[in-house]
Amino acid sequence: MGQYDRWYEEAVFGDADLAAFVPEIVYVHTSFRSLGDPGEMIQKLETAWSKLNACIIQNNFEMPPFRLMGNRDASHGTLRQIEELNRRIADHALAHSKFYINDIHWLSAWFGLERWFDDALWYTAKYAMNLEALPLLCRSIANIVKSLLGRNKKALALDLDNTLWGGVVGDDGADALEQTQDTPKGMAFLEFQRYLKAISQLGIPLNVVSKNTEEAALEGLSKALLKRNDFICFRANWNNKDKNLRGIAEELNIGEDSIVFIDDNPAERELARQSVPGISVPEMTTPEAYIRTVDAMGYFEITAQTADDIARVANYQTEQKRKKEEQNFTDYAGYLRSLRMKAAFEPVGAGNLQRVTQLINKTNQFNLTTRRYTEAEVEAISKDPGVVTLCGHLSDRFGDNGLVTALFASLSGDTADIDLWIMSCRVFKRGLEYAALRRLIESLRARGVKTVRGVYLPTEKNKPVETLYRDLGFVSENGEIWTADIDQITIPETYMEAD
Amino acid sequence: MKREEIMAAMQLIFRDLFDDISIEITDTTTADDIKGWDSLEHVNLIVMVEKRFKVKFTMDEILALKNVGNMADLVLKKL
Repeated sequence: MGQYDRWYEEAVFGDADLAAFVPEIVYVHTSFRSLGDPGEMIQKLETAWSKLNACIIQNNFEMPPFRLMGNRDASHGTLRQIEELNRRIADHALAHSKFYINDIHWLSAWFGLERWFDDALWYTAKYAMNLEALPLLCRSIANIVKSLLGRNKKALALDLDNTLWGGVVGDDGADALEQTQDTPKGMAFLEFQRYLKAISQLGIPLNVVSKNTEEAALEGLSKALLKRNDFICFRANWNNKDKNLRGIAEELNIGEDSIVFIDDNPAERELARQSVPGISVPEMTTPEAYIRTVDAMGYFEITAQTADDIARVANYQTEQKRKKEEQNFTDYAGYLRSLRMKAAFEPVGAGNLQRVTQLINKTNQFNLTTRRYTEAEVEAISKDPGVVTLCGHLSDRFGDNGLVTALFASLSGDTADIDLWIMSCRVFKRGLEYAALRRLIESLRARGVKTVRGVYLPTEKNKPVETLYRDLGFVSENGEIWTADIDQITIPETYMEAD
Repeated sequence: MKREEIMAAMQLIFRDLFDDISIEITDTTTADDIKGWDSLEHVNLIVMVEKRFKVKFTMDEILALKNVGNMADLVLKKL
């Protein structure tokens, strides 16, 4: 898109092509090759960032290929300046939510600084780096974009024997398993468990899928760092694993393609790849490489961390409690009443922008249009007086589900178009969609709206809302655009307080 | 490795790189003779040849390349 070495001019003085393209994401590739004076560089960067009205992915700077004073460069020279520059860039990322660092400082070190710079290629063809480092760079950028677009993986499904611990619990017994500091192999498995635990604390639920009796599996875990309550779904049985993996997707209410399956057994991996479409199955080799293998894939690249992410695993646990409770009720309304739900609605704005954007980009099932928006776009919509926005939280006696729904309705005359209507799968079948629509209609009525139009754009995943508008009393000629007189929308009874 | 073998191996690289199995390279083949041989592909070509023969060209050598025959001679010298 941009011209070589023109990033500053294009950002600051405007570029017709760039403006016409209306980018959602701008990637600024800078490197030591374009550095010049580090003090000047940060000012140029900050000016450029302030002019770009898009999500920005910005390289930081790798260490230089030479050191003028040798080691003293670390304290008095270029190395020190680059570190300070990188720190300023990191500070900017801390203070700005639509700004993401592509960390070539780390990448180049990982790749090997000596090979990262290819001087002949630089002088002859102006390649900022070794051609062989390009896939690594591209993957890094792609991971950020993937995360921004909500395409991250959402759960880990883990085998036990020789995956979480060394040995086979059914044959060797729990005491003989290697998963402690006592042996070199045990240390490798222990570290892998520690890594997984850290991932789960980022909001990625861990699940077990193991050919074992549940009793044996629990026995193995009794000596492990990871405990039973670190896992959400626990499928230790003799079913084929593809069946268990589908069961986990169903229980977590996520797509099968959102699961990463970790198993040391190539046959199980192959079965999963063939029978569970879209599932991610990394090639596990030896235990000491497990962490690197999983980590290098960037499955869970995090570009924003909301309170919802951090609470997610706990939310799955309370959801399991709710499910148990549900079994005590023969009538569903009675169950819903027993939850003592409270819904809280507010307009989309500064305080919830990140979470709303995240929800928009990762919600596939209860999503009428599957339109994706960047944070910059959501921000613009939230400030547009011609759009009514709404987002909602749901809590109940088991806990807080967090911010789980959002709607945008744009006004034209006395007609409102529902451009976006999403709800997290976490709160399906609780009636929140009705409470949210009721609230939206109140706002629309106050704005003089007489007719409400909704759009249903079918995808592979949004079948659950196929008949939503029809059920609410909207009519359609083509099944895509649904229209209703605002007074004729029929909203079912809900069993929650709303404010 | 003999010069003919180098030319044969380079032929495969050219066909792969420019995605055209009909390419027949000769000593006098230049960028003008092959569709798509631009500066970007030139870099890819050099890196692929370096990798295939496990050699590294200096900047002078890269700048002095005139045609495919030159490149084969250079590889032969470095092996």
